[in-house]
Amino acid sequence: MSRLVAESLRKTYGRKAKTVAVDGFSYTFEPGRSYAIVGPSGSGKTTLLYLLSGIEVPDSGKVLYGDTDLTAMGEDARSRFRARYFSFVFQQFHLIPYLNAYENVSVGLYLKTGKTDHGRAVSLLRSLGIEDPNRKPYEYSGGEQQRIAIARALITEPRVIFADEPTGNLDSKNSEMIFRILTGLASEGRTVIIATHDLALAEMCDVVLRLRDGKLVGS
Amino acid sequence: MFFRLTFSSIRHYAFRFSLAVLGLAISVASLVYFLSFGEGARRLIRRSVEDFNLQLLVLPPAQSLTVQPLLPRSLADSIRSLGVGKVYSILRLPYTAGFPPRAMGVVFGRDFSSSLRFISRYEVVRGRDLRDSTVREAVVGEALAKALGWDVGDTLTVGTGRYIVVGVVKAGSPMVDNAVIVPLNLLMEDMGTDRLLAVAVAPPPGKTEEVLSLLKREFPGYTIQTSEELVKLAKSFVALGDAIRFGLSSIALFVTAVLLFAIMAITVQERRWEFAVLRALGATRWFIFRLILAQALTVSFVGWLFGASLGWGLAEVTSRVMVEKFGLDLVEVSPSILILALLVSLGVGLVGSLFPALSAVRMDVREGLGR
Repeated sequence: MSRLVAESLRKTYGRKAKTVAVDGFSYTFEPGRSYAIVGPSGSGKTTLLYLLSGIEVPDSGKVLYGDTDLTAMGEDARSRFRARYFSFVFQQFHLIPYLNAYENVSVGLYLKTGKTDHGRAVSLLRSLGIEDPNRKPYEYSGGEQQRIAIARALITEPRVIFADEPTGNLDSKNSEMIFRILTGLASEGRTVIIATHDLALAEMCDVVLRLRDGKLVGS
Repeated sequence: MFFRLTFSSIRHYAFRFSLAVLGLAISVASLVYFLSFGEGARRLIRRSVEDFNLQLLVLPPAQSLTVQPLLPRSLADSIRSLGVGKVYSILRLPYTAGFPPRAMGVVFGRDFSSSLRFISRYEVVRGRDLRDSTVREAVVGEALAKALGWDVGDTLTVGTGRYIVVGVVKAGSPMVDNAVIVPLNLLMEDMGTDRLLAVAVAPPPGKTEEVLSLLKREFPGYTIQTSEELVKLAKSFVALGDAIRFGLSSIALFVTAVLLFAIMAITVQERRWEFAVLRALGATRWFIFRLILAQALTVSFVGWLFGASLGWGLAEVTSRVMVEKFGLDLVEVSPSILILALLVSLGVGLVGSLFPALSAVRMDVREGLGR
């Protein structure tokens, strides 16, 4: 497992009146640890996750995973790199509505390897408490949908897991369960980076990074 | 999984993709149906060449295709005197029974003075063949006989002459199966004409080019064509018809391409978040591009399947009606028409989905994810 290093990341939006989303962010994310990025709305949490995962490129600065500079890669190379080493969990779950739970999970593996593994997908879902993998996403509760999304993220055996407000649409009981699952993944040697505005849940992570106006203001 | 993503999304948007399939099916059906007429005409030309002993044909001056007998009868004797092979005088007239016509056919004059058998392939299925150039007897094609209820022993009128049907013949080609064949000299007498439609010449083996040059030299004012040239000319007329019919079908195809474009553009717009999620999970832009094209091509293929079946069915019905009413089968759906329709259908799918696919590829993942 390698370190994920952010060096002086800066990202702005808009053409004339530029909005600074991330401003000079530098940090080293160690494997086997869980990180919570907290801050008010508009503080740059999501943008930071997109920069760290290579979904977006910074205006300046670098993102290094091991010896690989993500910011120097082309768009498709970053996609392939992301499929191989990273995974994402979203606030709105973002499960594909016409695929059942098993197929949604398999998409993740297919994008990485070009293959699917029914047994592995089903056992992963069962380990997360999803017993019937043949139903469509809308037939599951919010908590179950997020667990399916986590299974989709885990099936590729990623080294870094990004989660953007993963409990934003869940009740407190489900939120705690999801956080427990995500932070527990760090104990397997993975790097887990969660953006959240819930300070209580953030405390469950090994490290809490505070962001304000795109700047790291404390940890 | 790629196919699962393709087919499941089509099923998810079943209504709108059904509309696209319907549009494609109608366009493809019209294409197959229209082009089947050209294919039928080509088959007719092919069979005509097989049925008639056509090697060299002397036609009226500056005319390659004619329906009027314009050549002087003496021309055949002049050609024969050159010793260029077997010479046959051709007179063919349209034959229409009743008004509105109950059947349409042709009357052929059989040149008993020639040793060439101009109508080379027919068999007598009832009665006997013509024997004598001095007796008003006729043999009739099986299809025409069936349409008009004629049989051996009946009497028919051609011009001012009345002929007794002595035989029913069959060649398997529309031209002969709808023909009345009577002695040439009596036909000319009864029609009050001393003109021929054309003169056919069958040169000795290996002498075709030599005879062609000789005839062109001796009869400079006439059109002299080989059977290959005639077939080529006839096929070029059919090809022109094909182009016109294809043009008409293209209107439907264009409308379908626009419909498919609209459907794909709306679908891609609605699925932006889905493509963004796939991109976030590691899908390349090429993967998204292929996914959208695969959906459009699947819809195109299904549209072709329905359209080709519909067009084929319509062509079959038309063919049966034409055979029943007129004894003419001018419709044929060949594999090449089906392959062309498939390629056109896939082309429409490709054109209709290209721009939406490119817009999905250029999409900002962050925007697609709803941030």
